[in-house]
Amino acid sequence: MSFQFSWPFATEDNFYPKAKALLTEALNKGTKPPIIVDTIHVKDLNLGTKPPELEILEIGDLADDRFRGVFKLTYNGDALMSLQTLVEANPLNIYSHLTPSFTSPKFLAANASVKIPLTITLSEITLSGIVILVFSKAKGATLVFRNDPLESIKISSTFDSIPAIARLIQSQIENQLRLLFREDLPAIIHKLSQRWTPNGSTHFSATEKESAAPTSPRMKPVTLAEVNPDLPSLSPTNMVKLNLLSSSQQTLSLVTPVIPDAVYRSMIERHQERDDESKDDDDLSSIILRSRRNIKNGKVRPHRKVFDLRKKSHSSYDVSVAGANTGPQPQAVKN
Amino acid sequence: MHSYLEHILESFYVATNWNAENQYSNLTASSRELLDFSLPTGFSLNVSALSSPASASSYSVKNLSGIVDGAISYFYCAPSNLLSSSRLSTDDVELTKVLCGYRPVRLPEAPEDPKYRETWLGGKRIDIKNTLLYGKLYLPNNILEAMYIRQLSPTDQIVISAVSDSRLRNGGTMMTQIQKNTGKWCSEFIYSTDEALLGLRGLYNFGFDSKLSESSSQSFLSAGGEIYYGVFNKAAGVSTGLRYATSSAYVNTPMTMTVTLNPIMGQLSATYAVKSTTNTTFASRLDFNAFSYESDLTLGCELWKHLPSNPTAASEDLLKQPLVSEETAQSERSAIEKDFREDTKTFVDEAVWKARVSTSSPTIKLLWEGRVKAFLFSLGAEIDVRPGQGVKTFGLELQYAS
Repeated sequence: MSFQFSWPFATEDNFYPKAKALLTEALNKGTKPPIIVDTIHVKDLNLGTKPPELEILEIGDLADDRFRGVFKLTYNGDALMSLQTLVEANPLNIYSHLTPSFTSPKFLAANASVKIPLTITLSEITLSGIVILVFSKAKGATLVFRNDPLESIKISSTFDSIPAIARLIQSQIENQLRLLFREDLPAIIHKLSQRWTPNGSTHFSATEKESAAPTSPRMKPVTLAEVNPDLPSLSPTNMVKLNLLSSSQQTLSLVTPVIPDAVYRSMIERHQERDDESKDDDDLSSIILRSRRNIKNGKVRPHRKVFDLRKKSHSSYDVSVAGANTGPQPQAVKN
Repeated sequence: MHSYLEHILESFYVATNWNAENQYSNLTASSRELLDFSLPTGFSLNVSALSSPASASSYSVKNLSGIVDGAISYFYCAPSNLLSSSRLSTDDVELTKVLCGYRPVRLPEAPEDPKYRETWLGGKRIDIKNTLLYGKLYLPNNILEAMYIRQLSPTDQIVISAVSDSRLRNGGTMMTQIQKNTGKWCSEFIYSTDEALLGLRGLYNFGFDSKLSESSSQSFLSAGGEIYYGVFNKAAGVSTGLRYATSSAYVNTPMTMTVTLNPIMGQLSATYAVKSTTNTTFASRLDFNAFSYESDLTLGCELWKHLPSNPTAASEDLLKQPLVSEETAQSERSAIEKDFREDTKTFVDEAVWKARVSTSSPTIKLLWEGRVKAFLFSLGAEIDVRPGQGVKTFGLELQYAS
């Protein structure tokens, strides 16, 4: 079973100028490596006439608001992208930008900057890979490549006449594209798809608003969606209860709301696994922990332990453990 | 304005008779000070104190658009009386030394005989080699800088500088420079742990042997070169330079002309700085790249306002410092000068205006530096002359040293 794409980009007007502007802005956002001295301009962008071919291999987890499938993606079209920028040709100049100024030898003219214009054209891209597409109404869509989809790409640049540099550019761009497909693309698509999910739309507009207001460069606001995009959508009742809980601690209120199916931090030891290694611990804190645990679990009834100090052979543990017989048995015994 | 570290370094070099202008990296120093001066950004305050004759501390606070940074630095020099004759406090420091400006190039001198540095007591040598230690901690960035300078003999010096910063690739970098400076030539060997950079620099003064005896010689020609090779990043760089400088105002206007060339990158740069009157200096620089045909013309000037009867900066620099410290005579002389200055002090003692324009950027850089009641002020602004644009950056820096 395969899909049919409508690939109207060539005939749609105003698509290419808008896409070029968007892509130029995206490429120039953030810090560029010191080797690129100028803004990166998208000179030419052409999505071609042939659409990619998508074939369904397997579908699992199909529901009203969820969808998961494994597809085979192949692309053999004539898409083309052309970028233009200026690069720095003096490696010592790049070195003097990267090294801390306190320990940099004071170059007199050896770090003179020489800017060379560079135009790179990416064409004849062939992709072939197996992709897992997950769509959920609440979380959005994302796709992950199971293998490396990039089969071949033709890169031509202004350095084609120098084979060594041409080879270097080819290998660098291929590596970057492979990284892009495997790591950046899933995140980008997920972020973009957030626009169409009901909860995600609020997150999306919130992050957009925050990124529009620049704060000091050290404190960029981070949203929960950025940290963990697979976050289950938070239910409002839980949020209200959490709010009550935090305010109860701040106002010394006597009412502590109980949240079902939640682990309280103060009770976390109850839920800790009982490791085998902790059984052999002899120090005081682990004995107390163990005895408390045993009492709470109802395994042992607490009883008072009496040490008769008149007896000479009393235990080396000067501990009055208001708890159970745990660990190695102390020698003192009620006489 | 030079930082306190640069000021102490310069006083150290002067007190130990080390001619820093003989180093290849300072070939274009006089025009660089006029054309590449840095403007203060935001507001920064620097308070320093010479806590003992051998140690000094400096604290600085900087506020740039809401972000506050600070730094603490400590200095130590040995032997302890090394900096005693230098005027380090801001209320009587000589402003030409601490404010960036044109400095007439000193004629190179023969280094002193190493025997003068020996001190014997009871058949054993007890002299301490001249050493300077420096450490600076930036807060809250948690960056640590350290420097260690040791003069092994009047002609040999070793400088080790290191930076410890968690953001750097290996946590830090260290650079070692081994310098040999006889008056006639000066060579340096550099090794930096960042990309294992090896460097070799050298400078040669022509006609040194014949000029040594002549006291009326006012000009000299120097040539030098540098070569670097980074072992890890396989980066190499070469440059050569030539400098012609005259220094006396009696024969001709003092000026410095330099030409530097980077043959691999095809970069040619020529500078010309002339001190037309005692209070004004003009400098210009032309850069040209033979491969990318990029060219650039930079012009800069500075205007000084000296104290009414201050001896001019040029002639004072040419006064030779006595080799054997005549401490009492020195302190008497400085005390008399200080009294004289006290009588003629106005609100703004000395000030300098600097301006710089360049064809590569549509901005004018303006800087005013001066001393106001024992504080050194530095006000800088960068103004964009295009219609509709205004002041791009504005900054103020205060420095106080006691």
